[in-house]
Amino acid sequence: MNFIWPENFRFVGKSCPEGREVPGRIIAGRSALIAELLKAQGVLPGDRVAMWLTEGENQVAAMFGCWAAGATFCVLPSFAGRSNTERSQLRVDDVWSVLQPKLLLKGAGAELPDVLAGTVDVLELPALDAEVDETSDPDALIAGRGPDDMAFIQFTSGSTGGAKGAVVRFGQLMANLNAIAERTELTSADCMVSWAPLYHDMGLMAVLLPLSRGADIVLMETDHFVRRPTAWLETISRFGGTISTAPPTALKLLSRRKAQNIDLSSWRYAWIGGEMVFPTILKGFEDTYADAGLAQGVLQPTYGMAETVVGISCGIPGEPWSEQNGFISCGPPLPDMELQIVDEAGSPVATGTQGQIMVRGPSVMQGYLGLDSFAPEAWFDTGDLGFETAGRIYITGRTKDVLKRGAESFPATVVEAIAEDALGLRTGRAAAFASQRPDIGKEEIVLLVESRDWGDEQVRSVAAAVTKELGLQVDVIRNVKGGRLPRTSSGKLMRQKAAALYREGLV
Amino acid sequence: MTQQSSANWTEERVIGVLRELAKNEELPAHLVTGTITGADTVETLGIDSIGGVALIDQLETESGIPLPDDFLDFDTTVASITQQMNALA
Repeated sequence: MNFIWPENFRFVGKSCPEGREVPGRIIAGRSALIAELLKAQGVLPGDRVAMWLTEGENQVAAMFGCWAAGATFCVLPSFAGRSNTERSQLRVDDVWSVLQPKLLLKGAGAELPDVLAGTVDVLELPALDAEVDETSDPDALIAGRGPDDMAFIQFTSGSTGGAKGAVVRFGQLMANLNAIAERTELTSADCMVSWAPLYHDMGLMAVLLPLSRGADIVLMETDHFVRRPTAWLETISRFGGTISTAPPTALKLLSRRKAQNIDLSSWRYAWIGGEMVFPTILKGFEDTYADAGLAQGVLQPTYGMAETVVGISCGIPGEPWSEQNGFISCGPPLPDMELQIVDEAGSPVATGTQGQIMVRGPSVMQGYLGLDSFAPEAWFDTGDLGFETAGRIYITGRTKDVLKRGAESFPATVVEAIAEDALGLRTGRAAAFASQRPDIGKEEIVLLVESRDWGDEQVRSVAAAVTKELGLQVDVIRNVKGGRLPRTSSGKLMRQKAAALYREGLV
Repeated sequence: MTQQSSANWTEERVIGVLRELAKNEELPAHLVTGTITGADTVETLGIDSIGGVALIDQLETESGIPLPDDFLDFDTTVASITQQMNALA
């Protein structure tokens, strides 16, 4: 088990749009320094370390520094810094209670969000220009870590809103990286360009995947992309990026806001995932950038989740994406990944029939932190719906109550609670769900509210409250008459049923 | 959308851009007809960072002016968008 470090890492941000090269030996030295600091703070093998870092150099160095100290890292989810509301504090407290970190890492001079400050012991990393031992051996950083050791914890949005930390062990990590590298035909001649945040499985993959084959890495600050999305494609053009990753939302934004004077002919594999992929989005992006050298067969819809490290299936390089009944192929399952589509009773369905997607394989996690483990041979219920045809997997929806926008996941229950609080309603008076809109290439986020008092003011207050707390835009907020939200006989809200009624225009 | 002069931005014109984007389903549906005032911020209108990019893009398209990366934030008001557009014209 080892990683192959590039001679130089490149970092791109608002302050350095042209990119800044940092030799791999400096990053390795910084990792060794961080490991020493962690040990000096009492971090022991097996301890967990939380990371709240914004600089790419610190992020990469801290990951390997934690491993070198025998610790497991966790990049904190985005909501940790979103807002300083009581609900945010509760969600962070929930993460702490599950993670129980020994330390929280922050960059030199960085200010922690209020919800993080004072809750856990903090280690401030030395300034980026601090002297390091440039002779540190990158291989030594993970020497002694075995396949059963925890590599990192990825928090996922459980449908109940409670914190769930997917435990990724080194064996699972390497299995998934190798499978993806094999499928994408990754070599040391490749260059990964990524702006995806490291708290997201795609962002972590974008750092570790190139290191699995010695490919070059160009890391962009996520905030740089958010403020100026065209910078992503300009960076691919500038550095001759061959592989990159993004959610469909990014493609949609950049179809609308075209990057100019770029050459994308070096780009050979675009890992598109994190949310549902619709044909109209891929077609729009291909049409927009065909004159910039973007070839057919570069955009590759993929499917995966934190519970499988990142990847379950992805397209074959150069093979144009295909469509069936308005849904898009996410490629064949990765090598060693088994898929089974089952009905509600758990029986396998016929090819081409929609059902619940179950997976198993060497990169599927065996449990959430602090919860019961699964047997390695057990099928893991992804909570997603789809079908399989000609060996390709098509995703059609999900059974779990999670909303996705821009590859970020939001528990429906949290959105509903914010709406109910904003309006002073009792629990259970709001239903949030995603409604697929292939015509405009997105999953529309809908919130139905049962309230007698309803008007412009109520809609505005709900919309503002959700954006303030979650940074999420709700596309449609609608009032429904009391008792119209579907519930089970025991009174449990049926969001998928509500979504079906909404799509049929019945609520 | 109707092309207008790059200068002479008013709050009504900015609100018109917001309503048009809402009609195109890029911004929340309630902005098609709901109340929007000069004091409203990006956040009170329920617009997230993805919607913000669509808004910046539309303002650039309408004005022909490239807008700075830090043009919009969650606390940017409709009134300040109007002022900035006129200042940059």
